Amino acid sequence: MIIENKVYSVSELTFAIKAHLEPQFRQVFLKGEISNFKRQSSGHFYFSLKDANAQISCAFFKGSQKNLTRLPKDGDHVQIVGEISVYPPRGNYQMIVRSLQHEGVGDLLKKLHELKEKLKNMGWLDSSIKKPIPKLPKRIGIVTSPTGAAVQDMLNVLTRRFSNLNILINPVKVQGPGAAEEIAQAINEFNNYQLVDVIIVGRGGGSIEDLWAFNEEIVAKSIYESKIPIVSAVGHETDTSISDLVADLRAPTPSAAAELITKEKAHFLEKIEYFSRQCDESIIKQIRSEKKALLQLIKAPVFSSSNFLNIEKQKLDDIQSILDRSISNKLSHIKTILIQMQKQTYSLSPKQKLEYLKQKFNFLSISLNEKMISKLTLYKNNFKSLDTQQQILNKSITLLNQKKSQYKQLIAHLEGINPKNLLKKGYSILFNQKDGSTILSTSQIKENESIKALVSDGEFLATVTKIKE
Amino acid sequence: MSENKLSFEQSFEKLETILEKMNSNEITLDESLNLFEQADALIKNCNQKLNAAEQKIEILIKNRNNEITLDQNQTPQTKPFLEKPNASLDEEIPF
Repeated sequence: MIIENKVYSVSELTFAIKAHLEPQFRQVFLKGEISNFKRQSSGHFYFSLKDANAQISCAFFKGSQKNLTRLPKDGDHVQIVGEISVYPPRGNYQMIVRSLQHEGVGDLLKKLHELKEKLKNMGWLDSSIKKPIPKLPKRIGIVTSPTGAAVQDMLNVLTRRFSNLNILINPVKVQGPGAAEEIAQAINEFNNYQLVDVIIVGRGGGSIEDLWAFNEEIVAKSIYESKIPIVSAVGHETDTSISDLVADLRAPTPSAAAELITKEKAHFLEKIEYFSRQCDESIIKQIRSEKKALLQLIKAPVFSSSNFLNIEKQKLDDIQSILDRSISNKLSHIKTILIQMQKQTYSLSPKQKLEYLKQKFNFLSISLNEKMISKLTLYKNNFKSLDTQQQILNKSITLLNQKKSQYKQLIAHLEGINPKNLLKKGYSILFNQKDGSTILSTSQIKENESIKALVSDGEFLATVTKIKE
Repeated sequence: MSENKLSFEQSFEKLETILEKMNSNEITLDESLNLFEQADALIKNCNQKLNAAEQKIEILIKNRNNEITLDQNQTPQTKPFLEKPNASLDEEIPF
């Protein structure tokens, strides 16, 4: 392919490889072990498929994943169908996966297909043998695992819609060895003891191996033989099991089975509600239209425009208004009289008189009081001024007398203490001749000293002859 | 009227025909009122039948060999099913 001396661009070479390689591997069956499995938020899967010596990149786009029975994971041994694609931006090649099957699943699918063919040939899948699902089952039987999510899903739907359902669960294993036998037995038990009116057989989603019990012939047989109608709800919408095919009704999921079972009841309730409303509306409508007709009849000329009644009616009205007027006149006349009488009574009442006298008395007593008080005040004032004059006079006389006697006493006292008066009584005062001091003690003089003596009418000198102590 | 003796389906059918008549505009008011009464009784009967039972969620009692157990009347024994047991995750693959 490579032409001597030709210089390629990278793109040219890459596209040349792509054009050469891709047609060679349009449909490849490839088996190997998954590694580096990545699930992108876009829903696409990317992984490598490897064996002991090599590996190849794989892209498994969302659009191709429809028939996938199980989410692949690292270590899974799978077989894929796809094509080789060269991816120029990265210059690599990869496998574009069209379908993926876990190892062993192929065998199961083959078995499933074979059983389906067999049952079809036996007439077990014929729509003509499907039993109708009772519209209002008295008791609903459920064959499933008591611990799975499916039973909760179903009960949620059933109890959410109705609060008066009678449900009986027959607990079974829904996967693993013995599961198919338990499921078949549970269906038989419901039939043998006539425990329920309808049976839901099912479980939640899982891999084809997980769901396998519902693909076993023994389960198909018990469903086929059941006298009680059976709704099958195995896995997800995309899973179709033998159980689904043989059952009288197939529900895509357990929740959907519960919906289907109660659909009719809900429908009936709605319908009855509707009937009730219709009934009311219809009767109301009729009554209304009859009423309208009646009103029109009443308005008919024969009733409305005949005068004889009207004249009588007018007369009656007149009489009534005359009556009304005369009564109201009489009433107002009586009322006037009554008001007058009331006024009279009021003015004549002793209470009124008393009130008047009381007022008069009050007035008189007040004016008397005032006169008395003014007169009294006048007298009081006069009297007060007289009294004051007298008091002042009395006080000054007393004061004068006091001063007079004080003065006399003072004079008498002064007389008493005048030393000259004492001298008149025979006393004399001695003075020292030398310093003129008054001699009060013997210690102030000595013998033979001269002293001066003062008497009432003069003085004289003397000599001290003897001192006695 | 013996509406109570009719089955749900019979009551329902009768209701449908009554309603048809009532909506036909060809009957007298007396007839209408009579039909209304009948319909009312039928509606009550249907509602009663639809709402008659009480809610009952039970599970069959099984022995170790996974066989149902019978009481003295040869009737399988049941017990109330608890709404929220510990759901085991092993059989549910989130896919």
